Amino acid sequence: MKSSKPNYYSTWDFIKSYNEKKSKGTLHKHESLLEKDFSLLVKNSDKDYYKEDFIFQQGNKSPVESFLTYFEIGLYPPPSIMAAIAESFNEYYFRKGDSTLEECFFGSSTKAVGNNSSLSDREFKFQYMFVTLNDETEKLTQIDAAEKVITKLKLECDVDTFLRQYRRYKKKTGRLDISEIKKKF
Amino acid sequence: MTLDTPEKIKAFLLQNPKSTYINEYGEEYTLKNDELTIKSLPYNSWKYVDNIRDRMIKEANKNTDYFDMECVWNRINDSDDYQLDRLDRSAETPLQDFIYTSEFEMYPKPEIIIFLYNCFNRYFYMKGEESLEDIFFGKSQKGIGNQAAKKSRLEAVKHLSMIIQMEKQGIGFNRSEIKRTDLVLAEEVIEMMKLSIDPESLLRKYRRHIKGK
Repeated sequence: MKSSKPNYYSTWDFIKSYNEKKSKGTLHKHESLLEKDFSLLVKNSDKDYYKEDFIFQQGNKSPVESFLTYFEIGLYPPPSIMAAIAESFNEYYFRKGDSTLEECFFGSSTKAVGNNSSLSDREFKFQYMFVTLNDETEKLTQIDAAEKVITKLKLECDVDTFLRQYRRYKKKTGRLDISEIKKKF
Repeated sequence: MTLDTPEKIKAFLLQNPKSTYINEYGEEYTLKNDELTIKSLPYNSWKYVDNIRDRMIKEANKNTDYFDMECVWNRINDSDDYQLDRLDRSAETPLQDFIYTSEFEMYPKPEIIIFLYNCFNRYFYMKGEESLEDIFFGKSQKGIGNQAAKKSRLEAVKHLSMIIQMEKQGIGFNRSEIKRTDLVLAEEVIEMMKLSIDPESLLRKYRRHIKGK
């Protein structure tokens, strides 16, 4: 369906209406099937990450960022987020060239870029964490360091999630070179 | 197989002259006149996604970046009603595959999730120097319009080609004796698909399409 805004599906409004439909049991057939598959994906120990408020509380500004966060902590994104991404692509094709992909995902093409520092500097927070953790003078534990980074950079995510993201980031990038990164700070 | 230095890659390619080597970042190495050339594979290509999948399967037992996704995937794919063919290539591109699986009420394969992640991550990393369309569909050519416009025009041409065939053979919705001209049919397609191009140019595209076949 063509929506009034090109990026309707990539907004929290869409996610909220999806969750409302889910709690009322009025999801479309295909959406409820996705929910069924999803129940196979989730381990009991990970259930907290899929509570509704988790999606909103981690400082993610759009479902796309939420998608990235889930991947970064090593989890499959929940059905509502998958639906948001798939529908945004469909919306793009539905508009037959009237809207760009940026407009379908972020509203306008400039918004996602310039002033949105949390978007553009996804790696910065991990590098800052690395430097804080390797500070010879303080010798902080991982949890303390994470708390320090979160308050300093005014991040809106919890310590546990941040640490999970950080560990995966480190694993992915391999050995980080402290002297290289320190030059940035 | 992981080859971490250019020398090792060159040695491997010298031993296997017809093959190429793709590293974990999706860079393809080929040997031309004993010179190593590097090309970044486009994200939205099966070659790129196949490379991710092969690495995932190989590294499934090691605790690597792909480890979690592969474990989770095995859990879902083991259930009775979910046997997705991992090597299915019926979709033209990985992105199309993602859209199809979501239409068929299924979770996409993990390599498709990684592919989407890499695309969006690259977009944020480039801070606006590359548009999302450049990342997903390659650099856009001037005058063609974006991918959605291109796809809808191609669909229009395909549709026109179909109804012209039907008209010629006297089947379809036209019950009168008089055959409609191609131009009238083109107008009909444009109206039906609500396109903003003129019938002449659609017809020209259609003729070019036929010639190209």
